[in-house]
Amino acid sequence: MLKEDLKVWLERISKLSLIRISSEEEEIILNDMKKIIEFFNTINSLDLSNVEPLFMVLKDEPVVRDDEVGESLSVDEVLKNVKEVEGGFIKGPKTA
Amino acid sequence: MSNLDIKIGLEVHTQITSLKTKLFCSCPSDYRGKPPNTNVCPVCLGLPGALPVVNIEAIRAALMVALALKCEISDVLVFTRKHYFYPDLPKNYQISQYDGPGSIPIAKNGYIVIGVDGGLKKVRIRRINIEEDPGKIVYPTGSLLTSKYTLIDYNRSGIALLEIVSEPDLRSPKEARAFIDKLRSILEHLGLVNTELEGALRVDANISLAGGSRVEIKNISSAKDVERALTYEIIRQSKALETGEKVRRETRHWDAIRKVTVPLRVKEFEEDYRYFPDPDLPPVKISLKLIEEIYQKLPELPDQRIERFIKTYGLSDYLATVLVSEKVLADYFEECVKYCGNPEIIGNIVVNDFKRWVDEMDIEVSKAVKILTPNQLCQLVYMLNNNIINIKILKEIIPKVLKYNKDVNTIVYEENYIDISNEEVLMRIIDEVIKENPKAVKDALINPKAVNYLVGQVMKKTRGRANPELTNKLIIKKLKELSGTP
Repeated sequence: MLKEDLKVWLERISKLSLIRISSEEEEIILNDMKKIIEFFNTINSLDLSNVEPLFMVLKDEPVVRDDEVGESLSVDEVLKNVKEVEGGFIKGPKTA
Repeated sequence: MSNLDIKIGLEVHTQITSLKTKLFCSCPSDYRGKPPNTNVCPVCLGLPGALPVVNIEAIRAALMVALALKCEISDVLVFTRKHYFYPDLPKNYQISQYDGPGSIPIAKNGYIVIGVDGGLKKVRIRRINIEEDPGKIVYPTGSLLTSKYTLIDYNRSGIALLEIVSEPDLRSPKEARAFIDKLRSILEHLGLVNTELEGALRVDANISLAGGSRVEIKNISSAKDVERALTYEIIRQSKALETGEKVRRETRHWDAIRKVTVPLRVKEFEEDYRYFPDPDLPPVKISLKLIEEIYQKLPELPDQRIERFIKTYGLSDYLATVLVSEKVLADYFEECVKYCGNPEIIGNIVVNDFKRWVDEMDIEVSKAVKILTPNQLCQLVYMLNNNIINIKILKEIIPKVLKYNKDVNTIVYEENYIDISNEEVLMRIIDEVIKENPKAVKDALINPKAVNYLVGQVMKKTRGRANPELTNKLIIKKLKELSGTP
């Protein structure tokens, strides 16, 4: 991937994740990304046409839970870190 | 509307209300009516370090639905993170499922059969996802459009949802409604969803007309409103197309109070949710043994029940279909029949009178069956069969019972509804009617059809209590005497 393409990609990703990136940070991230892509290009050069992709290992015993009610938090605890509360509700931004 | 080449696809979100807890944590699932933010824990608030663990019963429920909708079932359950920013979503991603690299929905490629204009139609199901419900946003002004901020209650956050997506096989608002009604009945028969609970079933509808673009309508909460919202969109879009205006690709919001759709945002490209498999949730193997076990335990489903109603009770296709369209209604019918037989009479009363009035008065069927109980309805049928009341009176009594929540017997006796089959009493009234309507009598002597008018007059005088058949017979007899023919 060219550096110019990477810049477009970074702008898009920063917009999607709502993270503002300064120009110094941009330089660092682009350099890191170039290294990462080069690394993946090495992996890509392997012939894996006969290998099933694996994303996560399937466990023998499933990690599940029974449908049994447990403790919830007290409302004081829930609202402890909340900036603005109105009638027990958490105040949030306007939505569209 | 058929020449517009309409394509409709639906996304139905249904809560699995039979579960006791949320999808990934042990908070209770009955969040309704609780003070805001009192039904939450670190997991459903998305606090750092909290780990979700899937509810085994939610998996079973999803498999039941997948089997009932004749889907292909995945051999592994994988959860995927879907990222977007909205105040009701505490983690900034929703744990959902996805059809893409490393991800697969729990079920794909099924179908539902719906009744359309007397025929049957197969509507394809694209996929079923298991996912978590977001929190609930309350708008301080009551409207999304005019509120300057939002109020958030996370009590609903993490409730188990199934997202059931159809292919764009539907061709009219009526078909869309039939699809939702059928799906709802299936979910009720499986015992998984109480669809009468507010917000238990929500629909997004995609609609496009030939020459236009795909428009998504969000926030529709009943089958009736799906029909309304789609009808509104068809009129709006076809008008735009007629005048050469462009139909934009956009998301619109259904305003159930004003009965219009309003634009929310223009879709320039497919939203980028940056899906990836959730590393917090190890995949769960779905064994053939589990699927078989659930298949063996599937209860009777709507299509089988309709067939049984036709076979066992001799009902018409129409009556059986309407009864089974709502599980409570079908259960009510069967309970009445168990109590006092007469399936055909009861089927007709339940569909044509009971259901009609329940809809008109906007009462929930589950409440109405507790007012006009099977015992009460059977008493009416008994009185009808023993000529204590006639069918016309029976039809009048049903809305009164529903409205005033009064005992059937009390109404019959208090309002003096008992059928008049006494010939002497009837003859006296008939004589009066004949005296008061000389012109009608003349007509009736020439035209036998005009007799109905005289019967009507007798009914009026007796407030419907006269036995119609006997009255008819007696009037004809009287007219014959008058005209001198034996």
